[in-house]
Amino acid sequence: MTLIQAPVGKMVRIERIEDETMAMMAIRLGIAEGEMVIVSSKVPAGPMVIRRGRVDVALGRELCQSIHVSLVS
Amino acid sequence: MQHSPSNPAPGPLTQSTHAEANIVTSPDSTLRLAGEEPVTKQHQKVVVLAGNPNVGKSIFFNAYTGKYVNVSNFPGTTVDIPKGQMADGSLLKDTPGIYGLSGMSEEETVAEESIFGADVIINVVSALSLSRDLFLTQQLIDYGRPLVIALNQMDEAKARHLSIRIETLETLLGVKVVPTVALTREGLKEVIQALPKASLGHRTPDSPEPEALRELEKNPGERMKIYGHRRYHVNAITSQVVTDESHPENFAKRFGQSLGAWLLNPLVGLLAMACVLLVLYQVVGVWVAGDLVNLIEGDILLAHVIPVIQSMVSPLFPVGTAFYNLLAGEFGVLTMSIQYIFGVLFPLVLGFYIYISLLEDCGYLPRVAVLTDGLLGKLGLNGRAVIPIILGFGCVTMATVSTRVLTSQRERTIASALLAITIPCSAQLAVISALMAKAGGLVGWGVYLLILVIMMSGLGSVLNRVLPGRSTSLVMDLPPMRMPSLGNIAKKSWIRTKVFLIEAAPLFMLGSLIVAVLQTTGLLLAIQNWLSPVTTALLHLPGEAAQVFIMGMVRRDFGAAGLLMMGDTLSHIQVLTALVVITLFVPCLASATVIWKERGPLESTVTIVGSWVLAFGTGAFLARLFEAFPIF
Repeated sequence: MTLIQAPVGKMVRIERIEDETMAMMAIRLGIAEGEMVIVSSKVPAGPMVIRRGRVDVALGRELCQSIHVSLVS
Repeated sequence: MQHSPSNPAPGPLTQSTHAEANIVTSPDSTLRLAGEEPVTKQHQKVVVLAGNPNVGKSIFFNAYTGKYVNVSNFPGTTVDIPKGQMADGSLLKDTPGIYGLSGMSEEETVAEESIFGADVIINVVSALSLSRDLFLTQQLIDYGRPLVIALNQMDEAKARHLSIRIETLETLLGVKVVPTVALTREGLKEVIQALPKASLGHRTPDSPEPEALRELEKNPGERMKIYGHRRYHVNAITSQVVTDESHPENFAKRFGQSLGAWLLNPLVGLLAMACVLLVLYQVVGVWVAGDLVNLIEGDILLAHVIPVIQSMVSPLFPVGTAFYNLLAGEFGVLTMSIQYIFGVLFPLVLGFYIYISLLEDCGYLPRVAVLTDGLLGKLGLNGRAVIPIILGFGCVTMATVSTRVLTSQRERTIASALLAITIPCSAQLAVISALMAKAGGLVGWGVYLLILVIMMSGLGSVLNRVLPGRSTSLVMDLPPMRMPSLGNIAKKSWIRTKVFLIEAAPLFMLGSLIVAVLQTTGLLLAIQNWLSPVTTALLHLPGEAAQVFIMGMVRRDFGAAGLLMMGDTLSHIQVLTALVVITLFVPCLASATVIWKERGPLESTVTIVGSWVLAFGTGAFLARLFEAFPIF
């Protein structure tokens, strides 16, 4: 499933990021393949907020649709 | 013998961890100087501040040079490269906040250039987001740049019970790490004292030599591998250095967190936004733009200051002569620009900046950016563009300058066009609401706002489709909600206002000079006469309305005020049509000059001509529509 489909409050593992530019941006911010993040909140038809460690990061919807994740908890 | 950007520090030093930074020289500097006079002047050491957005670089810059640049909670506000002299005579450069050197935006290119021209780098790293920030640090090390780390926001890290093992971090990275609290100036001196100990650090395991690495990173496939590797290495370092010792969370933190989360709920967020905008309208729109401006412009400047200027000019050039009119007449360079800059712009811009800084520093604005991201995405923008748009309701000129915070040129183009054409500024809004009270009332407001929303979404969607490329996805840190420091807000708003006025004042003067020339040569009247058949035939408005439009170019509120004076002779439909036309019509001369400066001749010409076509086209359509279906 993609990040956008992940339920709020759950921890997910990032498996793969489709778009190359986006993958690069994400890696620099710490969202790398293999990384665990918690889905903090989702804005309907808008971006979502994920928490990695102690930092909340808002990610545009399009980006979230290109991040493939698997559920951890 | 300044290092050129294409000539990074050479390889031999890369293995030593404690190379003295100020003796790093490039071997071919003598070649470049061959044939020239021997250089006797001592090389000025160049120190560059680098780091992620929002980590406090600007405070370091301020402390070391005595100058103040924008410090803010909203990522990405330092776009230019501020430079200043440090106490020891070195040159200090600030750079835009970046997450890495990948040439992905103008900011990254600009920062990269400075970084490769530096003798030593102060890498400001936030103790709150170590794993994110260290990616850039490790990249700088891999690129062979000598650096010292200022580990900032240590107080907040402590408050959040994060324990950071500084010695371990130093050993793992191979560079000096100085803990700091920039806001209270703790550790700032120690950073400077550590500069001579700047070192090249330990590169990511198996990373090639810096020059080879930079070549490799130009290949997209290789770059992904290198980045993944570096990220893995950085995460490993972070996990050895940071421990979370937080006990059950305290009340303030929990409150801040739940408030932050609530504000992201669309319903709550929308309500909060409505409140924030209402307060903004009342405070800045009514009190500042109305009452305070009336006081300063009318009771002080027009009553006491302008007459003094006029009496100083009249002995030199008698009243009524062309020179008198140019200098001190109705649109005189001295009189009108002083009246406008100090009477209107200054209070308005200061008021807006105070309000915006408050929203920014408490962490609210980034959340508005998140909420509006979906909508703005349809216009080819992302959530960050909400800042210029809110500022636009204050002053379009100020807002156009602030489009620099947007990531790409494409977004800047779209945002500038939307601002120039569809956003009425507060000076104008005040007069518009006076007019609406007389003509149309709530229905009038409703129709007016509806038209603006349609124009804005239409224009944005069209530009989004027509312009090449695509806009960047939002990736933004959400700072925690917190109590803002009033001192910081006062200082920041004051500096922002000052910087804006210094930049804009000459443009306003140029604008009034142009108008003064047009008026004294009689051209203004000629244009009005030429335009009046257009207003009559096209917009079904009286010929005198042409004057309103021309005045609207000089100063947007002049246009609306002109309508107010014609008020009784116009029908409600005519008032509404005219209001829509002056809103869509070219922005005032000052913003037109700023657009020219920021966006270049081609784009500004298209924007201005486009706004004419849109304004008159929409006006003509509305006039006919309302005549066919009278709603008043």
